[in-house]
Amino acid sequence: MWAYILRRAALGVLTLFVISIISFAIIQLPPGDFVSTALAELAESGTETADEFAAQLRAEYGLDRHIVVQYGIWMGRVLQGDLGTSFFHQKPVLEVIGDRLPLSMLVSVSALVFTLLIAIPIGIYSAVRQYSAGDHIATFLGFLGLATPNFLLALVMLYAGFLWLDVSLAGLFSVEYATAPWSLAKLGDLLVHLPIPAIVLGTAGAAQLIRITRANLLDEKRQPYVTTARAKGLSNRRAIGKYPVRVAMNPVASSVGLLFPNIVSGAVIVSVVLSLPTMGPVLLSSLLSQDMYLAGAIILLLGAFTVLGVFLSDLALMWLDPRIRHGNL
Amino acid sequence: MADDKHQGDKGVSRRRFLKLAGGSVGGAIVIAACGADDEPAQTTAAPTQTTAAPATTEAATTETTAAAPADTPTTTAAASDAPTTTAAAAADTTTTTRAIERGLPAIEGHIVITDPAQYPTTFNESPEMAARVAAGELPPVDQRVPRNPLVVEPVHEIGTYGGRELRRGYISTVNDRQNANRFNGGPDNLIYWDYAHRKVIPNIAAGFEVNADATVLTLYLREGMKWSDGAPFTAEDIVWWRQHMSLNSNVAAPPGQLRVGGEQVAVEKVDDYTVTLTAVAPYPLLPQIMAGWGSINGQTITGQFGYGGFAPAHYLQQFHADFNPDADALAQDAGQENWGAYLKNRNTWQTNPDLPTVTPWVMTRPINDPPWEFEANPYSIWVDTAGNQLPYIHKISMAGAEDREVLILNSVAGEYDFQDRHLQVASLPVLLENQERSGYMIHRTPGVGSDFGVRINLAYDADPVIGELIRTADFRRALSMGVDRDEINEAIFLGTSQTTSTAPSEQSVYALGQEWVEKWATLDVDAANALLDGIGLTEKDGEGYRLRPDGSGDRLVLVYEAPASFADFPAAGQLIREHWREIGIDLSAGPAVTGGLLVEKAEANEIMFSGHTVSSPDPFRQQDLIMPTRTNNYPGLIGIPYAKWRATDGADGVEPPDQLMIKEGWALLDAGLVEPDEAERIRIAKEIYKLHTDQVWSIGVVGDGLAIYGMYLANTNLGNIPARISNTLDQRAPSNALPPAFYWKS
Repeated sequence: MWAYILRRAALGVLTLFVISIISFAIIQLPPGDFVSTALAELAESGTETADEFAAQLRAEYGLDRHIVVQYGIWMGRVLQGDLGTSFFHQKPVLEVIGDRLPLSMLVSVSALVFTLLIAIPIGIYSAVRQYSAGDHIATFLGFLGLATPNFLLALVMLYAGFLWLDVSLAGLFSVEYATAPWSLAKLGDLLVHLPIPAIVLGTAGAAQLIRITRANLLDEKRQPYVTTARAKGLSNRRAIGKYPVRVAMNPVASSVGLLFPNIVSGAVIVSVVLSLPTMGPVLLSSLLSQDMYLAGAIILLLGAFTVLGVFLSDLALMWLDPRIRHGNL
Repeated sequence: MADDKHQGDKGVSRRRFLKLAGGSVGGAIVIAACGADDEPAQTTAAPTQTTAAPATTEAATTETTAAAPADTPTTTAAASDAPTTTAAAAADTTTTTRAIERGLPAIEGHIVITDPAQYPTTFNESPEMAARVAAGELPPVDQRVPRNPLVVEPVHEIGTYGGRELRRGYISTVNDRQNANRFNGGPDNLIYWDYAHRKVIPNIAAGFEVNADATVLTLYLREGMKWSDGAPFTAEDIVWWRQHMSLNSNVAAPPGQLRVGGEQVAVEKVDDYTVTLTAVAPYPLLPQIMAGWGSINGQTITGQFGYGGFAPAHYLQQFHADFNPDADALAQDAGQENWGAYLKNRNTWQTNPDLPTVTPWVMTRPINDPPWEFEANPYSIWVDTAGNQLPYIHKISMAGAEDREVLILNSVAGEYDFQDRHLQVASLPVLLENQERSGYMIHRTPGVGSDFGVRINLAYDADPVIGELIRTADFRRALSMGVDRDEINEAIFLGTSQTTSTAPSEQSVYALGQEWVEKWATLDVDAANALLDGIGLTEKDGEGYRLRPDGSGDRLVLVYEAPASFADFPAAGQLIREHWREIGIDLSAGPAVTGGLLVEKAEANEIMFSGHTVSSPDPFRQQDLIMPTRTNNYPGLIGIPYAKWRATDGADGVEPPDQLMIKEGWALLDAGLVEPDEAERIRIAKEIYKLHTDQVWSIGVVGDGLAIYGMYLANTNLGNIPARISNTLDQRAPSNALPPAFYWKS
């Protein structure tokens, strides 16, 4: 059993190493670098630059070195816990991410909670009352939710909020609390703003989960043991709720592990649209401006969370499934 | 006849405009642009302004004339003054007529008082400053302002101190560093344009003088002027910047604006308050260049690159290796590669709250930690005619939006008190619709010059057959005549722009008249087809597209690339693709490309056609979009190899073929750059524009519209908001609205 854990852990580290190389390569893939992006922006604002200017900037950012050397320097620093300095934000990457990571987690977890709260009861209802009017309505809304792009829903909600409630629902805090230290009032303000991103992000996931729950439960409902339970006079609620629902929940539970990377990436476009101070907008802008240490750090974190999520679900499976534990599978 | 047609065109745009102003447009913000088919229910705001317009213009003109004789001799060389005024006056008439046609008020602005007799003798300060004086933190106000302060007569009235902070917005996820310098920054040019962009006037410097042959520019500084930390601002700050930053290769590459005839301009201190800039050859444009936008135009624009034209020597010395042997260690402790990088990092107004500046507001909370905040500079040199030290409003808070759409929505919701940057033409209907509800007013301020056109890479040679066609004048003319400019204006710019060739704007002193605005630039499919047939492109394929002239039997395919910039340039390319189908030309126009990619491709000479602004408002000061003069970056993509050939006297690059007439253009440019007589310089500029337009070096499409910072939103409770300002990059608009004089009316 320990050998298994060690093997998984070693594989995880190796995967992380490969991810670090890939993420560094991804950042270098688009033509140009941070300096050419900066030059384009300067040109856009009408500032002339001398020919020597680009070379000088590249030297300052260390972009004139060979890519392997750049990777070596970066990795060396990362191993010492130094993620480098963001070119764009002009402050350490850790500071840029540090502000946003907890909020990203909060948004992702709230969205997940919203998804579960909505999807599972509706899924169960749809399965139990298959082909009823309620099922059709739930299915219709579910498909609608699945088909509506999240960012569009976000825009519509923002506009509706402005039109009818006369408030701007963007962001996670009102202006007066944005920079204030944490207090009860600020927490309250956060709770007012949190539902919008949670609903927007949760809707698409909910639609999917409704279908999964419904399908699983329908399968389970037809199992002989359910019929037996019913025949023995169990109430419908108890006959469905006691076992079939629990079994139907299994795939749901296992997919939660894969939501780990979402905590880092958030939903990039929705976060941008809703102006959330989460990781999404930073990832997008760092990739666009080729702010390589920042982008690299985020992609690396994304990889690390994926690896961690998979490792944890491996452990969970091992705990659940004796065949894995004994190395037969 | 040409004039009649001109009037007709204007009628169309005006109707369209009123429709925009008055029509109510429903729908969500993203689809606002598509919903403009309501009938004009009420045409309120715009016409009212029109009636008031002539009166305002007159007032403004009178004031300027009154101020002019009062100018002290130190202001500017008298010789070059007269032609400017005449030319400007002529242009002003056109502008006013034009403005009324479009339902716009006249341009108005503050007056800078340069006659010491009119200076206030006692000074007042804001309650916040008075409290700090009482607490012993600051010296009294008359010891903080210079002996000859920058005295301004606000556009409408003397304001009052107090009221809440002023709220603006910026985008925190893209490079929006230039946002604040155009409002909170003063501007901090040593010398600057007057509000109407007519002449160069004193600003941070108290005055300037140009010698007879335009080789020496003398700057006079303000005695007793201080940096925001209280240290004196003297000639040393300019000379030190020149010597130890701009000419030190560890810090910066010498700025091109201070290089004439292959030699660096010498910057020397005469006394504490006098500096001379001496060039080896006549440099008559230097005052205009210093007044505008570039690398010698103030700390807040380019300080982060080691440029700016001056720098706080007393503060920056500690980071400079020539003054502090430990500078490198200091830099590495701060996580920077070397001392040069750290010095520039410390000279970055946007991120370093410790940096002494000469701006009306000083930065107190950096851009990388939103909100970006500013507080009144206790040593501000701006003073109104009643002796009140400006700014009236103590604090500016700029909220960071993650994205442009959010910023626009916040604007619509009235969350900003003044906003110009990032408001797009596509959002105009929804912005106008919510004016009353959210308590703001949208002021429209059309730009001067191009909003959009097609840049042609004249030196394209990746495909020699296409390169040869591009270098054929009739091919370029045919392409230009194949563009339906009206459709692009309506679809992309909501009809707010004017269709045009690359000829200068009607508002410009270089205006050539309607004939040139239309030259090769009106839709004429038959004429375009005839021109293309005439150059031998007669073979067509089954779908009606012309074939390559090399006999390969393949279709001729042109490529267009564009960034999503001030407007949806890639979408405009899609429209042109449809238009050119009519003349048998297949254009490939893809989705938006990033600026970084364009830079790379431009430097590799791989771009054929690109969509952006074309031409420029001034052929001498912004040469690179008129003819190939830039050897790097994508404004140079109209012919980088030619520019290299010129820059290296033929050692590198490619010689432009005679038929392109580029050498004629360069000769005119060289003559104009050293011409001290302004009237003659204007004549030369007009020749350049005629050559450019007749040769169709670029394809002009629309201009003088609202696409480029062409509107500003202002809280209706703010005082001294000009009804309309002159919208030029040269003036760092809306700096020319004089934000320090804004105040809360109640």
